[in-house]
Amino acid sequence: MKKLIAFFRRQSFRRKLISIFTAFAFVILMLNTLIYAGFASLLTRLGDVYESNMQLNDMDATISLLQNSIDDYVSTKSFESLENYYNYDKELREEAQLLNDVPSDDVLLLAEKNIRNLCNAYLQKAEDTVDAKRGRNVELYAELSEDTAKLGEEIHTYIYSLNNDLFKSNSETYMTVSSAIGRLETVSVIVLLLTIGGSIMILSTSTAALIRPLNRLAGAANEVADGNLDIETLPVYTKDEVGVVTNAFNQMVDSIRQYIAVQRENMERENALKENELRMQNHLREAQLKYLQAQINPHFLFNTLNAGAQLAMMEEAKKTGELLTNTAAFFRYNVRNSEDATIGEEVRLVDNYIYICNVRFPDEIHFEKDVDESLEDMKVPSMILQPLVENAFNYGIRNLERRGMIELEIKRVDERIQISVWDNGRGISAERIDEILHAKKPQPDPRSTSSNGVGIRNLLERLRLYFDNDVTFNIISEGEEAGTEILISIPCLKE
Amino acid sequence: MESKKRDSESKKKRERVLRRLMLIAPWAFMMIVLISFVWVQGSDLLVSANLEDAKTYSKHYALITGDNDDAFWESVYQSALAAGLESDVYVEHFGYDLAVRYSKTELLDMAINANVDGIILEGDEDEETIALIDRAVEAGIPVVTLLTDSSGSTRQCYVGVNSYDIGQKYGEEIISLIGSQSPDGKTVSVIVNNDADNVGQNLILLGIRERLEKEYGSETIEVTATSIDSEDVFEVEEYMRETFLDKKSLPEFMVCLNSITTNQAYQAAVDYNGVGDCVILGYYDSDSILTAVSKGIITRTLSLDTEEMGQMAVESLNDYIETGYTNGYMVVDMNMINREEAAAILEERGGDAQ
Repeated sequence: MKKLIAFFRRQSFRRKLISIFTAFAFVILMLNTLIYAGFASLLTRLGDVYESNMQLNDMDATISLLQNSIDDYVSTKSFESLENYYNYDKELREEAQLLNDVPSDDVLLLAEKNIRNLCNAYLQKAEDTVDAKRGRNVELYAELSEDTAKLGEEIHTYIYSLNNDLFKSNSETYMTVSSAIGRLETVSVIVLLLTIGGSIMILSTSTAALIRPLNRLAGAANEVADGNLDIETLPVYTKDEVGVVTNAFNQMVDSIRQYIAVQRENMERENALKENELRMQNHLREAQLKYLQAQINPHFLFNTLNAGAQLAMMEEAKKTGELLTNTAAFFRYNVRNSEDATIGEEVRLVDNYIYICNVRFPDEIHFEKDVDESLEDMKVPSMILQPLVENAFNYGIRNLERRGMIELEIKRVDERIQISVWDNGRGISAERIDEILHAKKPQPDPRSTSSNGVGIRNLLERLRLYFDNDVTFNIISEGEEAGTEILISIPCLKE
Repeated sequence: MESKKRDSESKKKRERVLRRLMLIAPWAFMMIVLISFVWVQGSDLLVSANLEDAKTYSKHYALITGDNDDAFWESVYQSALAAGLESDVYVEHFGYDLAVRYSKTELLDMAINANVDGIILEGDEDEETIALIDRAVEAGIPVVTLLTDSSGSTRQCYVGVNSYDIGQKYGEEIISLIGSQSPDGKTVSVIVNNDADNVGQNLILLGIRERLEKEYGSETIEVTATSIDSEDVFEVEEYMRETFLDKKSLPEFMVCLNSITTNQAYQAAVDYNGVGDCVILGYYDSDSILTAVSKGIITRTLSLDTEEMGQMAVESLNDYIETGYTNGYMVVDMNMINREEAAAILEERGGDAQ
């Protein structure tokens, strides 16, 4: 049974439908055959009912004809009558053979036996009569002829009586068979109705079983269409078209889920990138804006300074010329609009700055630098070193009573660039260092207000964006009047 | 969480089983309908096919009687039939159901032609009967005569009573009924069948006459024989009507020698208010006759043991066919039944019937 069910499940949808309809048709056909067979058998019986009566009538007629032929022969002795006699004799013998010859308690069968034996006696007497006629024994054949005729009459009577009884009995049979036909009609109609009802039930349950996976599939498809992808995987019991479609649907839902996950990841990554870029630009703009605010028309200033420098050269005021050249270089660097710079450029800017500062505040700054020359071509964001040095000057050693020192050291440590800006100035408290390094929002740097540079915070953010967070930034200060060192470690990024 | 999962699984399982049942149920229903249809149809056909289920026998005897006294012979036939069935023989009341009523000799002739295995015949002394009996025996069909013998024929056996003895019995009853009264002027009318060859009737008549003469001397009681065709019921009825209407000619004793005349006499006695006017001595013990005896309408009735008669006839034929020998003469019991006895017998039969 299980094998049969499994076999059925393997079949295609079309075959399943065909087999269901075939089974239905077969049942109806079988029922019709049964009904037909029932009716056929009853009708045959109905047809046979009066056959026994007809047989007896035939026999009766044969006896009459035989008697006529004997009478004819006895009176005319014609060849034709003799031939008739032989024919009818044979016929009657055959007909008599069909009758019962065993004693029975059935009145009809017993009568048949009597008729059969009487016929035999009659045939014997008839033969004797014909023989006597042939032997021209007038007395004998006259007597025998009379006996034969009498016996013939008696057989007539017997047949007549039997016929009557048979007719009664056959009528009973006829009634029985007729009522059986009537019953069969009713039963057939009932059975047909029941079978049709049953067949409809079979069709509806079978097709429901076939359609069920389709309905399940349709429901799931609707859910997916409504946007719910978190549906259970549909079970697949069959290997027909519905099974194939269900499998495909399951796979499709799975693929969609995966695709959406990948898409989401991609978008997130892209968003992060975009955000990075935007923030970078923001910071740069912020820095530049501050410089622009600080430098009123730098080009004009730069050109003026250049003209001043040339004028100083012509007047042979060498120191003034040098100051103006340095100032011009300083402003030129700021005026250029580029994110990228090299360490060498940055160091030169610091040199310019220090020169200017030394002219402005003579003997206040003692600047020393130690730069690994091999690192001069390494890429860094622009405006990194000068703000640090400016910070160290403005907040560290300016107006310091003792001798102010600023040291810039750039060296290679573990294949990274380590930048150190040290001063021996006032120092920074630990709380302030923590505030600068870990503030969630870039706070306006209290030192930046008076700075012409940008805040440490801004600088740190730019470094992080530029090197993709691969930046170590430390502010080391041992407290008041202990000086400050800012240590930065960045990766080597060659131009 | 775990139990919830189990619940939902068992629910799913139940649903699956239910769905399978729903799938199987219509098929099962259809099968039941078809099988019951085949069963109903098959049983219907079988019932009609088994309409005739006849039993067969090894031998076939014919009982041939004159067409008088149906009740008496029917009783004999039933006992013969019953005795026959016990020994695998079917006894037919020959020619009884035929559309044409044939005479006894014609029936005998037909039975011989029909080649039965044995013939039980109500005998008579008619030459034709005797010749036919001889022909039957010659053709190898043994013949037993019943009630009346066909002496002089080659029949194998006679089963019955001595008719003279019957006459003596009637005579004795008349004597006992007269008792101490004077027998002078009393008349006894014996109703006989107008069958000249029936020697038995004559012997009965003789028996009555001789017994009365022996008791009262000759010509004290007048015994007359009235001959009517008792096979013609209408003639019997007419005779009885005339007799009972004319009270003067009504005899003191009327002796009926068969059940038809007995029945008609009792009917006429009731119809024409003649009960008690005439002592009716009947013949045979059918229910109607016994009822009349128990009511006193018929005074006495002579009963032959019909059961014994039929049985003896069949046994005699069986013996002869098996051994080639049988008794030539078998006597059947007879008994005169009075009012009390009749009532007792009726009660007994009624009890049997119940």
